[in-house]
Amino acid sequence: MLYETLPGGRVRCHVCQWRCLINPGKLGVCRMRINRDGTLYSMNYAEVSSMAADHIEKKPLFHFFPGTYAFSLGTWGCNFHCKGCQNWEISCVDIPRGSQQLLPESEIELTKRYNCQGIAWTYNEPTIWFEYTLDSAKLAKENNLYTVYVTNGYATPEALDTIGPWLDAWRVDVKGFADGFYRQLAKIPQWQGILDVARRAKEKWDMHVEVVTNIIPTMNDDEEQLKNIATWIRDNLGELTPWHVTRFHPLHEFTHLSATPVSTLERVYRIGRKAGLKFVYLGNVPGHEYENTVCYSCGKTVVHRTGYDTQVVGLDGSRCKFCGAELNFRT
Amino acid sequence: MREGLINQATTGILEQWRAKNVVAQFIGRDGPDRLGNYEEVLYGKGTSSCGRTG
Repeated sequence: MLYETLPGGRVRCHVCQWRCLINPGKLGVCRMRINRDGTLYSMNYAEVSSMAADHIEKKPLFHFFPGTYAFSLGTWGCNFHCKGCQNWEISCVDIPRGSQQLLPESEIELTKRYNCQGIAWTYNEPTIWFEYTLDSAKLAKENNLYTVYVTNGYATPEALDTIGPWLDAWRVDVKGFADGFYRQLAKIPQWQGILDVARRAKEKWDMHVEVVTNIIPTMNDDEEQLKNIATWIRDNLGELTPWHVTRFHPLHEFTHLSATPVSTLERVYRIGRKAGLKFVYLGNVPGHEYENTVCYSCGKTVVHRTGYDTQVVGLDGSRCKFCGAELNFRT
Repeated sequence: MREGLINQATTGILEQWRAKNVVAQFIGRDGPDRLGNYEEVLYGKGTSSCGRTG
């Protein structure tokens, strides 16, 4: 789906913002779509690389059905090739022999079997098995399950609009806020479209949106980028949008870098709060007080978290049960 | 620690399948047995109709 045929048997894929022009017999940048005689085929439909019943907090989504489990699946490959990818074993490879298939009907069965309240397409970029996630999302909604994309945000507006009616949450990375950073991290030339699509997810489709920035020492830990991210979130997604700033661990091609000091994350927390964001969270620092949700109005803790262990103590729907302030929760 | 990182890919359920020679796509096709029990279908005695064993 979402491609156009061009003279000479070429096609242009419109699933992600690379908008690959693909010659006959060739693959897109994701290496999961192939042009066979002028028709674009998905090679990884239902091909699962990873699958687990995860806490929704692991995505991370903190304001979306807190304390529930999301049946979480990833496939092979990715349209980004980030140098610090923590899931590079599945994102930087082709489909291996022996890969398992899981058809959407079975995915729903397993979601229920493992007592999950919804499905998250996660671990690598969901749009690279777009047709599968679309079929699955439709079935999930028929079965009263929530649906989540954990995404780098590089989907096209057309792709978003195609799956929009069946998608509840857009957990998007804003990895940095500079051309040079995105180019250096993942060779992405035009990253601003990520912002446009995130805003569209919220405004057009009323999706619940949370933003993640993995703080990589020397790469995106400068004041300017972080301030710009926080300000952009505030102005475009709203001050109640959760911003997760997560600790980087040296992996893949970034093993020469050190893990993010907790003091750096605490500094980013302050940048976010100073910019006006009401909910800034630290990630990959289990037990830190900034994992909790504190009501910005009355100062009481409404959700306690330690790692992925979650205790909701002060919510009344989406509001603080102590003072009634709106806290932007979906439950 | 690494396995517990945010959004770290985990394969727990997939590994269970492999270990028990489960063929995922037959869950939906075969469904539970007459008692509503999936175990026979998932981990049961016979081989699947297509002969794949994962």
